[in-house]
Amino acid sequence: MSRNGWLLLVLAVGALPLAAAEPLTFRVGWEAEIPSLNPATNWAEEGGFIIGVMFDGLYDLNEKSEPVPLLVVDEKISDDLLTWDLTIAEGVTWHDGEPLTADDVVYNLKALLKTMPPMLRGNLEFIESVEKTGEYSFRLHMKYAQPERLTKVLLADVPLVFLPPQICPPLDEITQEFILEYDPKIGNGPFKLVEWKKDQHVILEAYEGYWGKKPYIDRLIFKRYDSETATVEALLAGEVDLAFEITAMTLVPRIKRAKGFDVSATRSQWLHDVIFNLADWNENIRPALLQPEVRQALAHCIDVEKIIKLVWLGYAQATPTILPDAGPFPAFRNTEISYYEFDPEKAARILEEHGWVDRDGDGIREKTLTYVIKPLKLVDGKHVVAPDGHLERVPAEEWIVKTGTFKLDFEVWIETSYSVLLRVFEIIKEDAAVAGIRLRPTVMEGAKMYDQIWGEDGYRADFDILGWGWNIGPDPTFILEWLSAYQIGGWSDSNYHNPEFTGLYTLQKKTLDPEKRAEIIRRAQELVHRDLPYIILYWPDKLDGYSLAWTGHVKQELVGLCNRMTFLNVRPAE
Amino acid sequence: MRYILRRLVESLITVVLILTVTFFLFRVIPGDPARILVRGPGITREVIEQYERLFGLDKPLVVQFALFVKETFRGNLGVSFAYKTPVLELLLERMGNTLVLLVPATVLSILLGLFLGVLAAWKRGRPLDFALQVISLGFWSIPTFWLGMILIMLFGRTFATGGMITAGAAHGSPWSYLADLGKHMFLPALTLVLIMHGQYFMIMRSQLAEELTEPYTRTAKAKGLSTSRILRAHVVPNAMLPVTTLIALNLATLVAGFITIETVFSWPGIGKLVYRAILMRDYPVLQGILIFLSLSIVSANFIADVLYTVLDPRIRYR
Repeated sequence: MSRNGWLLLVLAVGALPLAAAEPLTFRVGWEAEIPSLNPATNWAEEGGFIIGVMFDGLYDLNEKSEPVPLLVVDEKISDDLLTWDLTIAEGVTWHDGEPLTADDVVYNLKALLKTMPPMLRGNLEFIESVEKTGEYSFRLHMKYAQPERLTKVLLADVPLVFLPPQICPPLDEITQEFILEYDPKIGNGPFKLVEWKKDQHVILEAYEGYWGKKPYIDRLIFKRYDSETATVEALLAGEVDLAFEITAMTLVPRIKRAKGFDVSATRSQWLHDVIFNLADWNENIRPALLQPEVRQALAHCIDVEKIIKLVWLGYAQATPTILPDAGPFPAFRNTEISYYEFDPEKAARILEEHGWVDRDGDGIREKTLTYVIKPLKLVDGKHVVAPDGHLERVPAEEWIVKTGTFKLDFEVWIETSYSVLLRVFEIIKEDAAVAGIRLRPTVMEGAKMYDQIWGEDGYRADFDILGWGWNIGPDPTFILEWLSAYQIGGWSDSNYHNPEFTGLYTLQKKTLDPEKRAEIIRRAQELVHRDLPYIILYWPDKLDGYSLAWTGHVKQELVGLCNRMTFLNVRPAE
Repeated sequence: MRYILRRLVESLITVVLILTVTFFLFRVIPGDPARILVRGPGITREVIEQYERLFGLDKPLVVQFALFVKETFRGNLGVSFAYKTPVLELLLERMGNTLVLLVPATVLSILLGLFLGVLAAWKRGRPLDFALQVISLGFWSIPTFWLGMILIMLFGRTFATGGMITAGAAHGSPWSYLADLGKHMFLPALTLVLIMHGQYFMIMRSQLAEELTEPYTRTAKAKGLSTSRILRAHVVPNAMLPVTTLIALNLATLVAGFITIETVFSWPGIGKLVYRAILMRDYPVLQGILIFLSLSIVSANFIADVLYTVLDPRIRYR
């Protein structure tokens, strides 16, 4: 063989490992179900992570969960906040190589505004219209002014540019049904979809034509396990590199003890709470729970520190407000509010003073109450909220006055995915018994629970107390909405209806000055703390197990390690 | 022949009755699929009603049932609410995944159980018999999920902890694929074999023990036949009748998948699909599975009845 021949042979042999090299893959294990990769139909947080790397939003959330521009590179917002002139980056392409320009943005926004997919309503309803003003620039006309931060959070919440015009119907033919049924394969983000086997895994690979910072990794895989034990064992076995959201506390020491692994704890936007049924419009009324002293007494029977220590091994925040002490929320949080003092004896005294006594010696207090059932005024089957925030009722002559004796004996229903609350309520019920309140906690399947809470028409409200929680999202407006009268029959679980609170919710949405807005939100928190539709228990930390063989994880406040920034930045540790 | 035809007609009537009852039963269970599948802030009552219309749940029940019957006879089992995939396609995929795991595990369980049952009966009353009973009954009594979790914790680093295949693995050859599949199958299959073999062991052992006390076995021994010949040619065939019934009945329910096994090991089979469909109130999937299960169980019973006539010449159907 000639010298060149040998040289070629050596090069070929040397290149073989490169040719056969495995793509650099980062794998995330989780228990999550991904309902959809369509931004218009996904409701799961985990689905949002995948969508967030498949598509670029106009804005994104940074490590402090504050909105920052993403596709948008320049913004000019009018003083009245009604006109937004935005410019997107040049060089952006869809995953099929087609350029993404202002035409695409305008197409998407117009299509969504025309069809208003239900789950994107909140992200779109403030936009009146959109028009193209340049090859990469467009103008948004807003229906009304709302705080700039809120608008940006809503634009960052879901990528709104996800319909490639080259494969979607023209604007005059596009329908809501098309958008809801759309199965996204072509994105515009740093990762493109390779494979999605439902209930099994999602495989993404780095998009070579991405306009922005490219990820270090070649591939990103999300693998589903049906139990946290399996997920953690997969982490320790090296099958995955990140175990997302561990809630079984017994697994945390197992990871921490293992060499080469650790657990990251991030303050979250998830709250766990006690929810009282405050509906008063049908026969399912719970007169005992409508008495403020009963709810206050129960609040005095909750030892939050003990619960956090025993159940959460310290991995939860004792924050008594409907906003956490994390991310952007400290600016809005009412720091004057503190937990009701843990004192079951005091609870007993409060009940005694209000006439709740144990007449039959069974350890449970009772009282005779006269109460009024005030049916809701329904128009086309929907309740009506007056401009001053009141719920409209049928005429007073149709109200029903009743008298009955009621015991402080309540069923507490806990949704299956929050089954850890069973342990929490086992602790609370012992202290509540001292005060003469009997709690009977039980885990219930979600579907059945929803049926009892809302039923066919949304107003059923046939329950006592719930042990549940919320992911409150990155802006205070969401939790305020769910507690307002507007969400009764929708997502209001407690059926809380305080006109002042409802008014404050509406007002803060229109208040543009951040400090004035924060003041309104603080007053709203005060009302919740006083009226107790919820007793806020704690805010569990987001715990993610991870392998130390990787570095570059970005801990995003309220979210944890599993976020877009981590996926762009993560790489093998040296 | 007349008997077989009669059994066939009875089986079909059974399937139709089951379908009718369960169609209405699912809709009586509390829970609104639209509310379960559509969650998130900003979701109002109007939105939920919109999804109910999309799923066809706003129509009167009788109309829904009529549509269901019509489409079923056309081979269209509908589209899953949760997966947005044709139900038939979903069922076939998941059924395949279930069979890949369950068939070998069941065959091994049967063979192991029968073998150990024969061994125990042969050595009945002795330490080996006692030990085999304790081990088999012990495994039979252990909760499946617990054993599965323990095996994951002990052997998860050698074998896979979940799923059917390594996600994203580039299998260069069918052997590589089979090796990966085998690695994922090992722990769930082992769990199944350890748990399931006990029932076959017990029934085989007790049947054999009873047969071995029959006068004909004493006669055979007196005639000079070896113990293994007596077992093989006379006793085991007689003992197989109730074992066959058990195997047939178990095979029928096997197609439902082992929900627990599939959940513990994240195996994407039909058992897990059933579980999730119940949680999500995914009516089309539940109905599709029920049609499938009904056909399987009724067919298995039918086959068992026919097999009896083959195995036992004393049985003749009029």
